[in-house]
Amino acid sequence: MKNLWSYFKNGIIGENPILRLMIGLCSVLAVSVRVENCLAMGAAVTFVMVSSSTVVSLIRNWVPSQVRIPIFIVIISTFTTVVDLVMQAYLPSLSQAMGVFIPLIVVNCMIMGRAEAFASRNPVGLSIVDALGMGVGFTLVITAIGLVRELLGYGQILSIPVFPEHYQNMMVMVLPPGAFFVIGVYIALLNRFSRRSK
Amino acid sequence: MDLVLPVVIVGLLGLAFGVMLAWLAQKFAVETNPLVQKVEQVLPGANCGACGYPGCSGLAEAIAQGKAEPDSCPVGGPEIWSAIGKLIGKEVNNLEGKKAVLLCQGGEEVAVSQAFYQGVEDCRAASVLNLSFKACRFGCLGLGSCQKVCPFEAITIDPDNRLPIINLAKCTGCGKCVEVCPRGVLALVPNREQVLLACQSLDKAREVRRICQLGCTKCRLCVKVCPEEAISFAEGRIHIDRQKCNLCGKCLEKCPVGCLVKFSPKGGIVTYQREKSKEKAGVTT
Amino acid sequence: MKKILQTALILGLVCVVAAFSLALVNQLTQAEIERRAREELELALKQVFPQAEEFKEVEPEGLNLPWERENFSLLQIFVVQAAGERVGFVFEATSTGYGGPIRLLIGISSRENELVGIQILDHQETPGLGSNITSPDFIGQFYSKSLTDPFTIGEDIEAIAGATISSQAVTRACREVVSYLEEVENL
Repeated sequence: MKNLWSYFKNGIIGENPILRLMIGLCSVLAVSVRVENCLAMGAAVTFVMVSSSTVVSLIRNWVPSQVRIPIFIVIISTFTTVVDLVMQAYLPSLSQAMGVFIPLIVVNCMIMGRAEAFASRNPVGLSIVDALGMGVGFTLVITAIGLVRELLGYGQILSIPVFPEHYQNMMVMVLPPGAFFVIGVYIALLNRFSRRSK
Repeated sequence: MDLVLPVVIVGLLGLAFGVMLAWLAQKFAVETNPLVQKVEQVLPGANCGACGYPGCSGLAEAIAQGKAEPDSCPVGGPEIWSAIGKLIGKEVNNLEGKKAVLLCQGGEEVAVSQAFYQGVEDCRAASVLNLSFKACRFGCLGLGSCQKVCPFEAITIDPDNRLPIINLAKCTGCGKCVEVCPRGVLALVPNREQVLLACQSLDKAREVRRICQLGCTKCRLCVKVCPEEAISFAEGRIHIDRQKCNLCGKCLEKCPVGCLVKFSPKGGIVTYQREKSKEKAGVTT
Repeated sequence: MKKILQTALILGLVCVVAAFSLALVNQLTQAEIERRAREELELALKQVFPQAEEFKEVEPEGLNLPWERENFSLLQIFVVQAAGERVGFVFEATSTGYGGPIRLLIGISSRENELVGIQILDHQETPGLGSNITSPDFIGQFYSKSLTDPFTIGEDIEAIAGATISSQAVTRACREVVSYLEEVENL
């Protein structure tokens, strides 16, 4: 049990995809303007991650190594397309806000990386826990980024105004460079914090 | 129909690509030694380069081909060495690992400074002409090049005497500090109890006495007193034969300056004087 | 040889399963997606032409129109009817802005000779600057404008500060749409 927890925690702190591995940043930069989008993106990524990790781990013993990458890609893109279709049908406004970045989950190296590096070598249970940890780690960080960007960029949180009327929006926070600034600050904080605890 | 057509198209595509990939994989197959992968998995995977090979995979290949010994990874330590030894079926004798030690005691109050240095805080910069602000040409400059280069944060500079302190628990024996030190006062030694000469000076006795309180004056008392004949004098300095030494400690007692020191894996370098004063105070180590 | 076939079969099998499940999900969601899209379009049409009772899509093949012009293209024309009579048109068009094409709906009343409503459907303008083309302050300028107006920045339309190109794109779309009016008059 403790072992499982440590695998889960690995995705959140030890090897956090955004702050530590720094992979899959493309969608983070684009989507993290509003907290709502962040949560949806996090949920979508987590779903694709967990389900593709599960399947990859299930079939890991009879996938020949020459075709493993096409097979992983097919699996990941299948789940991504499912998410895309379902979102278009039942959450059209969110799907519109995210635009092309939902289909682009296919090429998110975070998911491919976990499939190749973890799920294809470990039993199903562990793979699910690992994928869940990674997904939650991704969601937490992207939401934390979105919180700062929405607050400073629009003066709102979850589209509810929090600053007085005459607040001057920080334009840079709405643009992709703003995401870089916030990510940089978070990485610095995490490094400071983890070095101290060592 | 809406269901069948895409399934057939994608299925055929998959089949075609599968044939292509499998055929290509056979055609362009590269023979790899499975041992290389196994050895690489055991290695630390930090790709630090301390072994002298291009990364861990480079060393793994060399080990698998028998070009390198199983204990070639200085960072790995005994556990990894014996694991690799088991993999390639070679016995590993050297199971104690190596540690870096400082072979100079010429700190700020001990060794004479002949100049005031104002420049880049780096030993290499401060000793370009092999002459520097310290009168002794062989002594530690204490500007911390070793501290900066250490990948494991094992070295700190003592603020009192400006000499590096090596944290043995963190030192992996990678040898980076030994490489970087322009004065050659750092050395890698086997991690076991032993007597070391903590002075690199090749100067004559008079000169040494003038510039350093803890420099070897070449009096050769230690050579005479050693019952095992482990200590010899050649090429202007004392040599200690680790194989012959039985750690009796007579040389430490006899040395008039105290430049002979004892190294132990637990406590690091201990000078004879310090050990004695501890005994007096009733402190047991 | 056997190994090649085996590898190919596994990849093929995975592809078949993936394609099958996707086709299935697609069938399940397709109707819903189309219904939403229709609803959305209808809602948007209603917004640019509130008095309308019915929108009739015009088949583009029957019209001999210059659909493509510089930085502008006409996508779709709807004939608006109320009380059994034709009262105007809604044009769906794209106009090139700063970040790419801006897709918009423009409602024009042929009876009153004025622009009834306008709505931006889709755009990729710079957030915070060009994206303000959707704000009521800017878009409101177009409502109830006479078709004889020049539709030019600096004359009757005030551009958004820092987003001249985006403002121009919207204004240009209106100007172009008005110029089509004569040719569709007899629809």
